[in-house]
Amino acid sequence: MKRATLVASLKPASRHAWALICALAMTGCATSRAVEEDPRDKPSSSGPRVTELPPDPFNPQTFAAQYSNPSECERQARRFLPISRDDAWAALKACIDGTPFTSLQALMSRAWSNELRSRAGAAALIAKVVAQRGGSVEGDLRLLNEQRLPIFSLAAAVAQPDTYKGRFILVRAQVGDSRAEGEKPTVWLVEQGLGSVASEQQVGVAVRRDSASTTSGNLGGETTLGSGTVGGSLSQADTDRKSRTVLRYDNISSDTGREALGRLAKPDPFLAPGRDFVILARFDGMRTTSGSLDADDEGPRIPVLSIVSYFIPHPLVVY
Amino acid sequence: MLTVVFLSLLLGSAPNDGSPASSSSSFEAPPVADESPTAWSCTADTLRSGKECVFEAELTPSAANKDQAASNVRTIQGMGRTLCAEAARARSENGKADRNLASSCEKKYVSAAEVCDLEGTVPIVDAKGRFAPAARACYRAISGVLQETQLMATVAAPCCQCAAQRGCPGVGDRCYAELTQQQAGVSTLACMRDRCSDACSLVPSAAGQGKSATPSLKPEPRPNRGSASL
Repeated sequence: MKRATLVASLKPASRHAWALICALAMTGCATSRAVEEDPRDKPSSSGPRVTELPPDPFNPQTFAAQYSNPSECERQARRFLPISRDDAWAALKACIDGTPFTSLQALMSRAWSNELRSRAGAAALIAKVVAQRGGSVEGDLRLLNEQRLPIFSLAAAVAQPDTYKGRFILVRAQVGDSRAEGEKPTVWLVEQGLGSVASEQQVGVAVRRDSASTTSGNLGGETTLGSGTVGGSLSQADTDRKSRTVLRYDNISSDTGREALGRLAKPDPFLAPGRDFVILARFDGMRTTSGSLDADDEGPRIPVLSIVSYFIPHPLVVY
Repeated sequence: MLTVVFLSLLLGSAPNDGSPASSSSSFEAPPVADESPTAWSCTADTLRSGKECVFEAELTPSAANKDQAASNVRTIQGMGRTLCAEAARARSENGKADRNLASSCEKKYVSAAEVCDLEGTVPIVDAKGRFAPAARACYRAISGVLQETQLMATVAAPCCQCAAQRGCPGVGDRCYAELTQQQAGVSTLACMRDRCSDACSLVPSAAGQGKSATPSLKPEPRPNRGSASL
């Protein structure tokens, strides 16, 4: 009864059609696909239960607030796909915004494939997940490219500018200098690579024992050559230290040597110098700089980007 | 039959199924590059400041023609007087340009600007004064002249002006160049030290160049030597 009410309240006529397709899929084709595919790739193995259908009007924030587990939130959002792709996408975005969502694999599953390719904000959503995973851009771009998602590295764009012109670039970078032409600022970006450094850290209680002793004395006597006295002292110091250490690894970012100019649509005080950002941008090609090479040379070239969005990377990296 | 119904439903529902039209920011949209200039374009301002910049302009290339080539050189030479006057102004009295230095700069500038014709294929700057990508060699040449002038104005101008007023030898255009390159003659340096010690405080002493202008009258302080007993 509740289900009937919900279907009747759906706005476009196509929702009836989707409901029917869903019904057909449940009776006919779903079982044969499930055998050969990862169950995660399907919108829903059993279809949405009555209580899991998106209420009308659907509030994504309220939906995401129900789940403290990001994976569960994404799984429930996926259940909306057969009913309303808009609601499902809104729910997924709310999951990523409202929970510490880091599962790039779940986002890249076949269930979300159509949405990722056609939705306007999909690239920014992916960039946000990469940032929430710690901003290991190089590693995550490899995962994205394995799924044929067209987001590329700055290194690739610099190497083959014509191939990557106009395409999405994901870069971890710090802001250097900034200049403005009217209301449109352009920032100088310094690309950062993510690495780790090992260090030993003490665990538990450390015991240290210091001891020192001094022995001194004089010896006097008489020989056939004459009489005399010999004096001396002996000092001894010992230090004994016992502690237990473990090897720890800390993430550090360092300059890769690549730089870029990043165009902003308007001044943004939050894109501040001195900290790393995961930046999604369009690659606009290369420009020749006034740099320090000879006047006769072609001159050093710098990539120019149009910044779409940026995110602060989480300090912990997910691999 | 079922397939036909399924497909017709699918196709029929497509326009209103809530799927987003591919916008320019979706992956399905064709690549879009913004070719417009950034805020880092090379202009007369970056020439003045010596700041790093990129060569980008909104221009349409055309067939080579002599008028365009001559116009390019004229455009750059037209900027020379102002730029040289500004470059020669640093550290001079009352913020006025050193006329000798400005005049010397203009001569060198005119010579450097000869490479600025770009063979008449494209205007050297666009409507907003941004240098064309092909203008790098020209930009570097005139930038070199201006930076050299600024250096001379900072290091040598007050000293050379004073030296000329006090009748020291080796003044004029060569004074600026020789002082900046630390190649001034012994007698010139000695005169500057004696008569223009304040104005020439930035000028390295003759002794610093390995040839002493005048023998030092005071003996060099000697390090203490000897032994101490407790």
